[in-house]
Amino acid sequence: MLNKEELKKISQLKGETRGVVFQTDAKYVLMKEGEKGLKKLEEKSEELGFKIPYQTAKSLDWEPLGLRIVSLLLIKDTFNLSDSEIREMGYFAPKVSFIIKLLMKYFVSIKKTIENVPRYWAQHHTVGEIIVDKADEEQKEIIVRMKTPEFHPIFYTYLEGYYERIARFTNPNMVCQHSKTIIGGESFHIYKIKW
Amino acid sequence: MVKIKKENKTDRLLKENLRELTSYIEDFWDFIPTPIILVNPLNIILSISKSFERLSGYTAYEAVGENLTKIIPDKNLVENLRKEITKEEEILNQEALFLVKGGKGITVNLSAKKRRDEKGDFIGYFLTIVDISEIKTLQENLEKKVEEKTGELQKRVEELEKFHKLTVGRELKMIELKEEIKKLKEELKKVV
Repeated sequence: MLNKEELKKISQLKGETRGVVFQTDAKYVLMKEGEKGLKKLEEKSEELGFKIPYQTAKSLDWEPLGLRIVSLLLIKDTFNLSDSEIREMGYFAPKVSFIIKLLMKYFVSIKKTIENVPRYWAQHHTVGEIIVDKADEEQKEIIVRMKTPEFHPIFYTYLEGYYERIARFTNPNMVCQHSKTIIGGESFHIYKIKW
Repeated sequence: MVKIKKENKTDRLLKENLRELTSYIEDFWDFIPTPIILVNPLNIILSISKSFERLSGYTAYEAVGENLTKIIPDKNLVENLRKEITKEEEILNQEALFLVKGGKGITVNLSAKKRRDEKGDFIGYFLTIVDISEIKTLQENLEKKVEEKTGELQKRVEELEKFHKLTVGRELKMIELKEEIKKLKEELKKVV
């Protein structure tokens, strides 16, 4: 059950993300639940005091990152989604994202995609960074580390699917797995991609 | 202070221009009636237009991320297309078999336009897919009709030739016979 106060707190998190995320969220809901589902989601978010721009957001406009996480929580709660469905939602997003057209230059080879991971993150978010810890084409393994403020776990589950889809633009056999680790007393989210 | 204000104004203008340009591309991509897709150098589909969804029956969820061979089953053609577009700026009207959702094949014309990054490196290509199956059927029907008509005409010509041979042969025989009668008459006169 969603807690209004907790959601409010999440919505006020520092940082921004591109408006395209609300477009892809809306497209996922439309695909799964149709027009009625999207209406239901909009009504629910308004009831809880959030005006999420599912149908008005512009791809490249900056929107609050906290609101993006609230959107994920609302979708999960409204349609009773499991974690694997949240992951699937992340996997779905690059397929319908307008920004992919603009960033196609990153998806020409495994090497080029890896090189551009940090830039890709920076073009989508105003907080945090991604560090490529390992990129070994022979061992068929890539490890990236996310240095961000601690967000709600749903965001990292979503990103697991999202990164897997991005990786598969260069190799359809890639599989992404998320984990959490502590290095030097600092907490990081790790995404290991294998193929 | 003044400099900061100027930069802010420039930034704002740039943002506005970017917003308008993005909106223009999004609207155009959704509207364009010719089915179009974006393909990376590994032949993986990165994006599809609404008109492509209508032609193929596939949604973006089903088509994006798939290899081009899902919709163009001729692997050699797909590989040659990729090789060719790395050398040429564009490829026009290449005929191919296109598989719509459900597996039905239709004949299409493919045209490709190379895309490069700011360094000039090849980053993929636009591919338009024009359904020419109706034109192709019409063309085939027309060719069939022309073939039938040609056959009929050939038959008529043969008949005429036969008739011609017959009539001309008869004429010649008549002339021969007349000559022979003439000769016989002359011989008969001599005898009498």
